[in-house]
Amino acid sequence: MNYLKLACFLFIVFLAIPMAPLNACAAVTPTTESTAATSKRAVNKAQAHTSSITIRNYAFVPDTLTVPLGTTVTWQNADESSHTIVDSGKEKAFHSSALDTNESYQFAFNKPGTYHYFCSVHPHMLGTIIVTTGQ
Amino acid sequence: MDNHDTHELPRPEALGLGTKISRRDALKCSIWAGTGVMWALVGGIPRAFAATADGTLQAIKAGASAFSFVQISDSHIGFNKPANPEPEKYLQLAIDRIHAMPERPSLVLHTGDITHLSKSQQFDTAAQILKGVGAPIFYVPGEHDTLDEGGGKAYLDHYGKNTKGNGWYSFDQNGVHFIALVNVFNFEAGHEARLGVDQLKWLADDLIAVSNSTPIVVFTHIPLWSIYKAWGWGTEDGDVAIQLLRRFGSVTILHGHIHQVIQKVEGNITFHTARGTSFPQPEPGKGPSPGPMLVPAEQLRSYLGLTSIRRVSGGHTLALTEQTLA
Repeated sequence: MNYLKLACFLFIVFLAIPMAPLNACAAVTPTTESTAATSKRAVNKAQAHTSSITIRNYAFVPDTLTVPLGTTVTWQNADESSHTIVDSGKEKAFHSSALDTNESYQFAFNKPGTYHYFCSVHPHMLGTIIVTTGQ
Repeated sequence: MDNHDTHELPRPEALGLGTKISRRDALKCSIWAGTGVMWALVGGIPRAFAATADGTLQAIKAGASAFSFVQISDSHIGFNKPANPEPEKYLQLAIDRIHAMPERPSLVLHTGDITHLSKSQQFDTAAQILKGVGAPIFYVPGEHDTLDEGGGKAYLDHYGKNTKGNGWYSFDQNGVHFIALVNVFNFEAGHEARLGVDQLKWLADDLIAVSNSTPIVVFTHIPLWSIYKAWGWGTEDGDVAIQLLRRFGSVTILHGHIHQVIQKVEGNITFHTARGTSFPQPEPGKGPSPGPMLVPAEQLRSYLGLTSIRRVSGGHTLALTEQTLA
C-alpha cells in the first residue's frame, strides 16, 4: 500500500510540475491533458505579448514597434521632462495622462492596424505601433 | 467694438493701478495719435500730450507717469529633478529682484509654464508665491500648464476668467497695447505649436482699433517664430500673427519656453525669449534633447533670470534689460 501511495504521489507531482507555472489550481487538481495544453498555450501567448518603449531624450525608443495582436505595450518615461502618449488618429484609441520621470503607461492593442502616436506637449515626438495578426 | 469695450479682465483700474484707460480711451488716443501726439519729458519722465481741436495740448491720462514692467517665465513649480530641486526658491528670488528695482514696475507678465505638471497644488503654490509680487500679474499658459486631465481646464479655472477662447486677451496700459496669445492647446502630431484660426481672427479684430503709433507688446509662451523646429521651438501659424503686427511702429514680442535669451529684430518688431526662474535648457540643437540642463549648483543662478521692459524716453520703442538671478 505504501508503494501504491508513493506511486500516486509521484504521479501527481509529475503532472503538477509542468503545470505549476501555469495555474496554481492545476497543480493540486489533476486535469485532462487537453485542458492543460490549452492553458499552456494561453500563457505562452501572454508572455510573448508584452513589449516596452522607453521615452528618452524627447524620443520614443524604438520609434516604430511591430507587435502581434493582443500585445500590451508599456511606455516608460526616462526623461526629466514629462511626456504624454496620444494616438494621432481620429479615434484616439489611447491617451495617457502626463508621465513624470519613471512613470509608465500601458495599453493593450486588441485591434490590428498601424497606430501613429505622439507626445501631445512635444508634438515633434512621434512613434508608430504596428499590430499584426500573424502568429 | 462693443465687445472690446466690455473686455473686463485686463482693465487696469480693476486691478488697483493708478491710471485708468479703457478700451474707449485707447481708441481716443489712437485718434489723437493720428492727428498729433507729443511725447515730452516731464521731470525726466516721458509724457504724452494730445493736440485738441483748438490746437492746445492736453495731457493724456495714460501717459501720466514713467512706465516699466517685468517679464518672468517658466517657474515650473513642482519640478523636483537635479537640474533644480527647488524652483520655488528661485521664483521667490526673482520676486525679491523685482522688489529691489529702483523703479517699481507697473505690472508683471508671466509667459507660461507656471507649474510643471498642472497639478492643483502646484497652481496653488505658485499663486501663493506670486502674490508677493505686489503688482498685477498677467499670465499666458505654457504647455506644462495644460497637462491636467481637462487639457488646460485647471489653468483656465485659475487664470481664464474673462479671457477669450483658450485664455487670450488684450489690454491697454500707459498707452501700450498688450496682447496675450495662447499657443499651447490643440497640439497635433508632427506640427509646431499653433495659435489657431479663432485666435488669429480675434487678433486681427483686436488690432483694428489700435493706431500704428501705439507701442504693442505681445506675450506668449512658445516663440512665434521658428527658432528650432526639431525641438518644437516655434509656432506654425506665428507668421500670420507677425504679418498682422507689421504695420505698427513699435512691436515687442515676449516669449518663454526655451529658458534662455534669444533676440532678433525684424523691422519694427523685436522678438525676445526670456530666461526661466527654474532650470536652464541647452542652446538650440546643442544637446540630445531640449530637456533640463544640469549645471554646477553654484552656476544655476546665472542661468535664471527676468526681463525688465521700460519705455524709452520720448519714443515709442521699449528698452529691454536682462537680469540674471546671480
